Amino acid sequence: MADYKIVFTGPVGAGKTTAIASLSDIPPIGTDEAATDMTRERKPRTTVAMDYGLMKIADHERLHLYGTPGQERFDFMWDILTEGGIGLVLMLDNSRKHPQQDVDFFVTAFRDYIAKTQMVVGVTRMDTHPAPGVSFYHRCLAAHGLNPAVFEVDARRREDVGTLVKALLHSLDPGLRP
Amino acid sequence: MPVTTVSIFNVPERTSAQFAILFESPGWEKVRLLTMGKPQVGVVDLDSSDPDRVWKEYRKRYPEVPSVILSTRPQEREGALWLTKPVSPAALKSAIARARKGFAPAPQPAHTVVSRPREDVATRAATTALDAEIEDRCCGDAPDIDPRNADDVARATYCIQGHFQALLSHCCALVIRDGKSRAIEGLPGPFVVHRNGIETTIRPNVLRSVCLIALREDIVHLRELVGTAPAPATPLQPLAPVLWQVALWSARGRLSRDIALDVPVRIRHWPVFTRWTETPNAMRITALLVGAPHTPLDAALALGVPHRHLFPLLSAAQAVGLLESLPGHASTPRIREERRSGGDRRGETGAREGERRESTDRRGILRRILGRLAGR
Ligand SMILES: Nc1nc2c(ncn2[C@@H]2O[C@H](COP(=O)(O)OP(=O)(O)O)[C@@H](O)[C@H]2O)c(=O)[nH]1
Ligand SMILES: [Mg+2]
Repeated sequence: MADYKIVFTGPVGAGKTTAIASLSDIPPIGTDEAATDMTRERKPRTTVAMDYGLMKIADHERLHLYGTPGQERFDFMWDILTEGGIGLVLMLDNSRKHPQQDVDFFVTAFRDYIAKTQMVVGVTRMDTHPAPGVSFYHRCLAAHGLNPAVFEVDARRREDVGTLVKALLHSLDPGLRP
Repeated sequence: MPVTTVSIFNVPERTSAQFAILFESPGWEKVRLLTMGKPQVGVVDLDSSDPDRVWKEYRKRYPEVPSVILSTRPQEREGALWLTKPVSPAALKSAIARARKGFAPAPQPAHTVVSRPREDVATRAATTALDAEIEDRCCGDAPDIDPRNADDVARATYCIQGHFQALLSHCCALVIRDGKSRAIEGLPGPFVVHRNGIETTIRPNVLRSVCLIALREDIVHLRELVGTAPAPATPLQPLAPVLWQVALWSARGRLSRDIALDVPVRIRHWPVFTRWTETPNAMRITALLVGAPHTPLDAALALGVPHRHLFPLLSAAQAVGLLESLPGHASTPRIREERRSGGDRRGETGAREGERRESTDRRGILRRILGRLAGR
């Protein structure tokens, strides 16, 4: 059995669990628990361990979709998660107070992984919060020397999440043919 | 291929006249409308209160003729291929060709340039109706050009001046600069550009026709709106995706004359393909040109994509300010060939061979994931 892995990360509420669920063949095994700290105010339930989804690719091939816990204090898990992964999907919530800090935090936390693989960025909640928008995130990412695909996505729409992952695959290999 | 005779069944007179005009237009030389006798392919419209009855009548008149069914609802009938309405000319043309061959796989384009990698069979396989429509409207079906042939170059390039794209670009620039809304008057409906979006009731198909004709300045012009504009009557459409779409329609497979065929270009950022029209091969072209500048001709060669896919994408990127020309910059094709001829590899070291095998394996899995995402 050949196993491949894509990691979804981003702040709490950005849509990681939803995005994984929209692609997964199996209901996502979320390990959501009631949060005990400030995150409770933003969202009644928050992922403290990890999200997991699975896409069967062929008889002997599976793509695992992992969501990182949204809270910074669990960052020791991230190395384990990214081991052997083929790329990173960074989900950002356009309604957050300090979007630049979110970019800086996650890009720094996954710096080594991004250098080894590729990333794409999905910005959610642009339906309810149109600003700051895609070009703002391009500027934030450029400060880190990064120029990945940044798409407006609604994590509830499979098409959007699928298009985002497609961009990740093409970024990994522009010679890839459909 | 020889000429295919086609008869149309169960359409109103007006539609039948439209088919006659379509079959007379350029690119349809191989299809002829037949009003008497037995055609090689029948096209039947099954949208009626009693599709079964229409089918029976059709079969009585044209027994066993391979057929193309046009319908808004799925139709499965013996010896027929169903196209969902609205049907694009490109989809109809390829369906007729497939019916003629007894439903063999989609035909390959007649033109293949010898010096380039072949287009994947999968790329040519039947696309969904929507993809076919996007391809038809944004890319057309022109063959690749020979850059040394002036006629080819003239045919495959276009000038935006005097067309709707130029007016819209100009209008957006003004509105972004001073924040004052402006109406474009003289179009087949209201069209107002606000700082935060476009307000219009003109339907996409109508707007697309507007893109293709030269505008008369005495009829179509900008008017600055004074005072506070009334609340928009329709939801605003963001500027960038509209400008992107207008540029794709205007290009229809061609390259804007503002872009040189032999000067390296770079795409500054990824277009927002979740919200902007994604044309065939758009992601591959973008991934290549965001990473490394190539001349348009080298990019087509490196990726093995037809010019009609590459040119409109570059033209649209130019329209939204995402294209950068880099004269004097080296154009460095950096795609590793997927299949090299066996003889080339004999001198390869073990390490290189291992590396190549690994990259081929990886490409295989990435391609299969892509296939799964596309629902295959
Ligand atoms: N309005 C809106 N809601 C979204 C969007 N994307 C995700 N959501 C919702 O945001 C909530 C949080 O998503 P979730 O996947 O749990 O976020 P996670 O904490 O990153 O795993 C869910 O209720 C989603 O349905 C979006 O683009 N717009
Ligand atoms: Mg979650």
